[in-house]
Amino acid sequence: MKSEVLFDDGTHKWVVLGRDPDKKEEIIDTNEYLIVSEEQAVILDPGGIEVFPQVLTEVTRHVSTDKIQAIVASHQDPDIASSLSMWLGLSPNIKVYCPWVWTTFIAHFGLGVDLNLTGVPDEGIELTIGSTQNNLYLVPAHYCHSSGNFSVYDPKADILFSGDIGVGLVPADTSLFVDDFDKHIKYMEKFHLRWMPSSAALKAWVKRVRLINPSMICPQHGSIFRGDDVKRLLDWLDGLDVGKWDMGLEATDVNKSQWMKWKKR
Amino acid sequence: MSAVIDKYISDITQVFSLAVDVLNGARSLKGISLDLKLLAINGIVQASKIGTNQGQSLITLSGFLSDLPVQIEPELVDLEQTASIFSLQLTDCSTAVRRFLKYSEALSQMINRLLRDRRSTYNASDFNLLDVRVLARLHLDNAFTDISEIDRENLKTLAQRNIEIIALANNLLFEAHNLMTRTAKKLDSIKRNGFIANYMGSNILIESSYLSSDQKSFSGLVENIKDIVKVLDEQLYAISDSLSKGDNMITTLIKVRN
Repeated sequence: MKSEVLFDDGTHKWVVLGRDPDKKEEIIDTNEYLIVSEEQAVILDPGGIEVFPQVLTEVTRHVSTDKIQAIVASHQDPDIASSLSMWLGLSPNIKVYCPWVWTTFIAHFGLGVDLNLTGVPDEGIELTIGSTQNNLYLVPAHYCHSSGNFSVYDPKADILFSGDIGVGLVPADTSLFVDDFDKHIKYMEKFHLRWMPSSAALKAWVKRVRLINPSMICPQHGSIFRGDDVKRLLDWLDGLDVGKWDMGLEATDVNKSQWMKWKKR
Repeated sequence: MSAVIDKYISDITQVFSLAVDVLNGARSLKGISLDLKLLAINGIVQASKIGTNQGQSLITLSGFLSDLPVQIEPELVDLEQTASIFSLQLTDCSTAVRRFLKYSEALSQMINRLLRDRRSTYNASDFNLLDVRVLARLHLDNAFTDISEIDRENLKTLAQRNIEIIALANNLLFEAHNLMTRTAKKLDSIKRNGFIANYMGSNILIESSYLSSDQKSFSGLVENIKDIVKVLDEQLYAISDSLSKGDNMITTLIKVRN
């Protein structure tokens, strides 16, 4: 697994971890983000249990594990939250923030460990890192794609972590940053059409993020958007007509004779 | 991942699967006990039809036989409970060991990174990461004299977590070992009841040989008793075999880390 520093002003640092060449083929590649601010650390979407050893190994390059103060799980998916029991087993004082609607579901990842979950209300919260003034803001992103979902904005670094919004299912050797937006669309389009259930929710998120106007948007899979590509991404998302998935409805339609055949068994 | 840790994980998984075999075996004994009871009732019914003194002695013998499942019942309940407790403990142990595996993977990768950065000819597999003494002194090892404070802290934390998990797994294995010993004693007791059932069957056969009629039905009954006791013995042997294999592995697993 590789790690690359996205922002560093000497006291406040963003690191992306990902593009693991040793991961099993059947596991989706994920980006994990580590924020280290005056020796306190926060991990955004720490990843699945299968990549935990690699993520932890990379994290140890940057911070002592007992300085990890919090983990934010943008939503409930296993590639985001199934490693939580490993992190909490290592540092039981870590506070885990996740959408309130998912707390009792995410608790199933506990494996006998108390996950120390804090449910984030729908409107979002301000998260203080240690005793610093470098706060993070959990920005609502509900139904993009999950029914309880947050993005994370860091004003100090001017970076927005977008979770599954802006995700691109890219080949392993794709660069960490988007270098040709138009060519990158093909990696994003099918994912968004299939996974995003509501155009209204997506447009509301875009509107929110336009106000924030971050200099970088960092998704949980694929490549990172910076500079003009941030606006290009927001425009593209704004024009996307999602939640109308009908490809394959015929294939999933009820076939009475088939059902009756199964019923007879 | 070192071969020692790989083997440790695979052994724990195997012990867990043997524990499940014991639990399933213990549950299947209940069916055998019921079959035995039905046969004994059948014997009483047939003997009561005879109406002579010989019939009375056969009723008494069949009555003894029908008492056996009643005597076995609490033993079976206890056996099943004990087997489920040690299955649960081995599940907890297996979960702890999987956690250990993930931390060990991270520790190995971290050690390899640190050694690679120092152009060392050693790698993680040169350290026995199952040995508590090695883990306790890992951050002070000569190979890591010039590492950063962050790396030293992380080495220490990860090694410490694994020491704690090893202690937890060890305790669970010790408890499982004790429960297995208790289970083995229960099996002996149930086996004795099977032996008594066979003995009763032989007596029924002898008594029924004096009968002028109905001899055949009693010999059929005794055959059935013998068949059931044979199945019981086979089942007990299978459970005992799983127990013995499991216990041997547990003893080895405990030794590996001491």
